[in-house]
Parts: sequence; structure tokens; C-alpha cells
Amino acid sequence: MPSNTALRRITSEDFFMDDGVTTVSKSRRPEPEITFDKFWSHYNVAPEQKWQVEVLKHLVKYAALSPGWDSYVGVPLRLDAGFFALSLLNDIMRPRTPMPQVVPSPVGGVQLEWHEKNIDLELHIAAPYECELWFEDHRTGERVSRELSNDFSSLAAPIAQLTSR
Amino acid sequence: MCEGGLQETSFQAMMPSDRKITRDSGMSSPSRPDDLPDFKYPPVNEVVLSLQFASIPSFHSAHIGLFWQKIRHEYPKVSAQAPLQAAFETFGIIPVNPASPFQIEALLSPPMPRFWFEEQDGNELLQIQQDRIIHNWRKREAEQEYPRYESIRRRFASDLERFVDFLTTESLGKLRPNQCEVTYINTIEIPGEEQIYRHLERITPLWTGCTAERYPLEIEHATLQTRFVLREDGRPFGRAYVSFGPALLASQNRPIIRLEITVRGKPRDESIPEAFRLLDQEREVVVRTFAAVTTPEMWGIWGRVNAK
Repeated sequence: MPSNTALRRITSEDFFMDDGVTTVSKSRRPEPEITFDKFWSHYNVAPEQKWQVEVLKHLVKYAALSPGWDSYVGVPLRLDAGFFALSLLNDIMRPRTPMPQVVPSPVGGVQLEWHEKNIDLELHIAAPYECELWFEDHRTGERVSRELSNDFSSLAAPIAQLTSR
Repeated sequence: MCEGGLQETSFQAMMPSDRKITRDSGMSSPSRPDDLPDFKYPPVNEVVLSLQFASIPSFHSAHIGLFWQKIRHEYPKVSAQAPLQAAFETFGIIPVNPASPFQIEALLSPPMPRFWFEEQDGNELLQIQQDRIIHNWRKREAEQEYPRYESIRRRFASDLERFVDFLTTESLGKLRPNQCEVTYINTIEIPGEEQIYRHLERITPLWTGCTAERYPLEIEHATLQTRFVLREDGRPFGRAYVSFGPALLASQNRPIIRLEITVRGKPRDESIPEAFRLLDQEREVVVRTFAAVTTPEMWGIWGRVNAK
């Protein structure tokens, strides 16, 4: 066995992912062996929510774009930018949050847009931790334009308004 | 069983207030801070240094064989594992949904595995996948001494340099780190104490083992998980995860407490020197956290040399 099975688990430990750690605590129950030919089925897990299905369709399509897709110098979606967008949406999408429009950006990123309920909200994700937020509430006149890195607290209120209105 | 809450606590107070990151190449071995907690017999069982980078789509399984030829004399054993999911530390929003298990790569083509390259004796391990490079040191024998961070870092830097050279030679692209992670796994015993699971309070001040009222609850074992926010100049840049849990030393069926400390954060830019600077900083956080979440009784067992 490749892993360091020096420890045996007493309880399940699912606090955070096993990020390359090899000292794993083995369960007393035998675990199914993940072999190479099972990777595809193991990782092709069906999305659970409708927005995930729709967003994934777009991201997969944009990742397969050819260079120059926009007739200029557009590059396909960076996979890590796509996954970052997906992770961010996973954090912010409530059950009643409207589905975003998903648009490719020529720099290999993706733009998530909402234009409804008198709200314009756009989040451009150029790369992990390289984002720009534009928000305008046409009812209140509130406007936000901000670069975001790893702190997305500025996004919380716009999403809440979009969800609750 | 009790679980610590996932409260986020600012970690800034634990770092010396005048600590600044000095500008240097970032790849040279760091000098150990004089006030960094030090132990003669640290209970370290595994150390993991990890760099996550922008996925390199042109890097395929076929290239692994070419790369292995360059390191085979050091890492004669190779095997395939399931790839690890990308990780990002973001702040300001409380996650609503559980972490998504699917990866875009899997929907484009069969996913490239994570490859393990092992030394013959298994002590050191290099792991590579399409968006991650990881170096592990593992304790394989009871008498094996912990080689210290500086030695493990040197090996990782050497591995990384060869990997980057390979990417350049094969015109596969540039390595752009976007996340750095340091993990220490410790196996903790209390000499003479066979009921260690019942005495977590002797190991960590985070656990009291007391109940509010006098009620004869017999603790069988306890698990404690805590997460801390790391800040620099007041801004969050990463997190420290601390986990205490019961385990058994498989070789002797002896009960121990497993303490895992992981520090994960975003480098200030996508350069390798900056990534190593963050790894060094994260290692410092790990060591200070280790001292902060363990008791003086344990320090005595581990031979702490510079307690305040």
C-alpha cells in the first residue's frame, strides 16, 4: 500500500480534505479500492443543483474554445479560473438566488452576470484571486466597483439583495 | 464526543507585532527565528509542503514518464493516485453549499492522476498532478529522527527546480503558484498513560474535559477541530486548521492522539520565490500554533528548549 498506514482511525475525520497527506488513519471497514480505470466514474459526479448543471455546461464549453475565439487574441478559459468561479458560486448561491449569465472573457477568465430586479451585478474572474466586482442597484442608486482578491465580503450584500428582492 | 466549533479566530496576536517579511530571493533557506519554539524530540510523524498552481492543460500523463527519467535515481518507485481537488481560501462569505466534488477537468477528458514518486525506503515522497506539486517527509521507523524543516525544504526546492526546468524544456508552460500549504502531523503519547483518549486536557489547553454540571459522563474519546484566520497588515491571507483526534499506532496497537496542523494561504503574487516565502511563513505559523495548542506538560516530554 502506498500510503503510510501507521495510524488506524477511530472516528471519521472529514474536517478538511486529505491534501496530499499520506499518514491516513485507516478505517476498520475495508474501503473500496480506487483504481485508475475507475477515475472517470469516480470524478464524473453529477452536479446536485440546476445552477451547477448550467454553469458547468458553460465552463466546459469555454475551456474548449480555440485561441482567437473572439476574432482577436481571446484564450480559452483557464481551468483554475473556472474552478475558482465554481467554488465561489458554491459559496454564494442560495436556493432562490437567480441563475447568473456566464460569459467568457478574452483573458481566459469568466464573467458572472445578473441583470434583473433593478440590479446589475457583474463579477469578472480573470484568475483565482483576481476578480472585479461591479454592482448597481437602480432602486437605491447604490454603486460598487471594486477589485477583489480573497475577501468577498463586498459580494455578500449584493447577492442578498438579488436573492431576497 | 465533543467537537470544537468552527469558530474563526484572528491569529494576528500570536505573531510578534514587529514581524515584517524581508525582501530576499525567497528561494534561499530561511534563517530560523530565534524565538521560534524549538523541541529536542518533536512528535512529528509527517511533514507536507505543497504548491498549487494554475493547471497546465498541456501537461499529460505521457510527460510523467519523461520527467521520471530525470529523477528516477532518487525516486525509483512510482505509482498513480486519485488527483486532489483544488483548494482556495476565501473570506467574507459564509459558504452555503457543501464543497463541490466535481472537477472541470474530469468533464473535458479523463482526469490525469496524481503521481507518487517514492524513495526506495519511502521516507521522502514527491507528488505531482496537473495543478499541484507536493513533497512529503514521513517517519517510517520509530527511531528515525525528524530531519527539520530546512532539510525538507531544500529537497522540495530541488524537486521544484527540476520540474520547472522540465516544463520549460518541453515547452509546456510556466508554473504559476496560487496556493501554498504546509502540514505537520504529530503522534502524541503520554508516557505511562494508557487511557490517553480520556485525557485530551493534558495535551491541549483548547480542551477542558469538564462538564457544566456534576454528571458522571465517562469520556471515551474526544475530537477537537479548530480553524484560525491568518492576517497580514490586517488583511486575511490564509487559514490554520488544527485537528486533534484519537488513533492507534498500527505497529503496536497503541492508542495515541493525532494532531494535524495545516496552514494554507495565497501567495502575494504567482512567482516561485514568493511562494517559498509564504511556505516559510506558514511553517512558522505551524510551529507557533503547535506550541500554542499544546500544554507545558507535553512540552516537557518533547524537550522544549526555549520556553518563555
